[in-house]
Amino acid sequence: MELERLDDHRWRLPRQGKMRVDGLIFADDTLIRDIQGDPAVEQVANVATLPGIVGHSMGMPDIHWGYGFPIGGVAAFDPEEGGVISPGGVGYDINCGVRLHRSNLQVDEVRPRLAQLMDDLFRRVPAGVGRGYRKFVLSPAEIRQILFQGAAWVVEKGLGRPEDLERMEDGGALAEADPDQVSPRAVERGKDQVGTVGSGNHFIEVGWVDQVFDAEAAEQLGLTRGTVTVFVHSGSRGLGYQVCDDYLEVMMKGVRRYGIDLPDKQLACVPVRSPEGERYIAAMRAAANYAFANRQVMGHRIREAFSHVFGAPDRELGMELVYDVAHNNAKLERHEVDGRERSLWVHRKGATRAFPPGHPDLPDAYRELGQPVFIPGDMGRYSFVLLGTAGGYAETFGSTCHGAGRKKSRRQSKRDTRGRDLKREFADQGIEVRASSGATVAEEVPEAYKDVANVVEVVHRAGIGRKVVRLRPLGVLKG
Amino acid sequence: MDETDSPDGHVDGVETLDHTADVGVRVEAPTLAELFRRAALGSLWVATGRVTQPGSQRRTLDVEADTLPDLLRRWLREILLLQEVDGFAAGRVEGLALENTGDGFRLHATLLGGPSPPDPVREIKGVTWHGLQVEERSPGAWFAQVIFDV
Repeated sequence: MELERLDDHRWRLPRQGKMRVDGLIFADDTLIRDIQGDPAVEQVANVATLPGIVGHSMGMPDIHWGYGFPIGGVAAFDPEEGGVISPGGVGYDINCGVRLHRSNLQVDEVRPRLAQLMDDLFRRVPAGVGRGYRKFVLSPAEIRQILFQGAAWVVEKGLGRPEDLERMEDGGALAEADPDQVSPRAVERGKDQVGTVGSGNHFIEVGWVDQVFDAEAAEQLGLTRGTVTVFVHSGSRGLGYQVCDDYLEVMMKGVRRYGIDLPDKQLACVPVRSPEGERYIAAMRAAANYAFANRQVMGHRIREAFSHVFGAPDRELGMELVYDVAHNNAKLERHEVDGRERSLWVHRKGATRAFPPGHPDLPDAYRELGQPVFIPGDMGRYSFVLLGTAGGYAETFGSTCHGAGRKKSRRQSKRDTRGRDLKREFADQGIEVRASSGATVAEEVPEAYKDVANVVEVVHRAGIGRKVVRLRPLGVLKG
Repeated sequence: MDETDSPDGHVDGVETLDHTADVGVRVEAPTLAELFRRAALGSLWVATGRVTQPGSQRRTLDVEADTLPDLLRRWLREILLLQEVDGFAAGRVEGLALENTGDGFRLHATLLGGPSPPDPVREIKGVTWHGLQVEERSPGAWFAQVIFDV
């Protein structure tokens, strides 16, 4: 499919065939070469065929092939125009996202105790395939509460601070979640996984601010140079995966019932205003709340680890939550389109919400600044903190990228690292790695990923996010 | 068979599929029933990193779907859920019966297995529809392809 260059960072996929709108891909000349060799462009076109789509079918600079929707895909649908809701536009890992904690500690204070800190974190936070936190096996009634209340339930149990909730999208819980729409099988899958990292590309990363792009914003976020930080990247674990799976089946039937013509089966969707759509939305919200709770528990464990290792209460160590963002969900939001305010279901699959300064959904602390956005890179190089912008809000429904994207398959990555002592290689770079599986580390090495700096640079130059700081890893915990 | 992914044996007729972000398998077999049997053991091999062994525990599974690819997807999903949630890893599939009901397909099988290994290598989020294939390429040559979201 031919793309038309609009400017240095925007490419248009003209409406053609059954597309209802144009596609719009954010990329520079380097990234677009990779993107054009990836089926993601066709997926942008496929998404553009869905009923009720508004604006463009978009691809963020980290766009790559996914199931139905591309990863890095953003699309909004108007229920008034028969707009649809699609589990493929959310992903299996509903409400997967990233949170960032900051501290008053400087990198030189942490280095001497880094190994001890990583050991402590590894003991406190289960990481790995399907591993639950056996002390924290929840009853169905407790899971039900989490599905309603999200992170608030966790805070009520004493795992975190009430003010943490202000620093989370939607206050750490989506309203109108309905646990009754979550299958018993999904509950069974998630009963012992609250507070667990998972596996694959999920992680906890201790890092530090090594470069500041916007000193004033960095100061306001508490992320001045040398500040030690902690990322958590995880989502709704087995519960969310099962919700997605359950409703993909529902949607497959719904597509036939509602006569929706799909270029790709995995775009299975139904009208928002349908019984199936309403059930999925209610279940998705419940799974999202599970993810918020999951990250909140891990945030608490991180504070415990720092407190234990550095011998001071976490408040004294300044272990505040900067923010908690999601990059796999669909939300009902008000956006102005062609001069008219509309309520739209914005699907962000591997794309992060990035609301601008002044947005009423932002907490008081960030109302003037804009929403913090976290873009993790790979486990060896760097990650970035951005802020949402007015330009992005107008153009992308307040959305931006979410990461780097793989460039090597897992199998290739394992082949290329065979015989190497990866833990030693990371240690030589000053990075302590703790992992449940050596195979995961081999699959997740930096060379398996694209350079996130390129992605973030496009975001910044295109005005759909602005750089604040760069973070470097000190310690990485993988499943 | 790629030994990179097969530190512990292999499943006949199953090979892993190179995919940038996820993991897939291609399966070949002389009959449809054998295809489903191998796909089940192959999916457990992907999840656990080893060939699972027949054990003394028995489970039966009954699955239905409109099409053969959908049947395969549901079959593998059930196999993997037993492993992830129940901690049961099937090592042998017995009495696998596939029936074309006229308006769909039905499968019944008995699984012999034991406890899932305590250190599976991979968390499979879902069995996707992407590239999902079940077809008889020539008489006595069945082929399937499945990609797992990891």
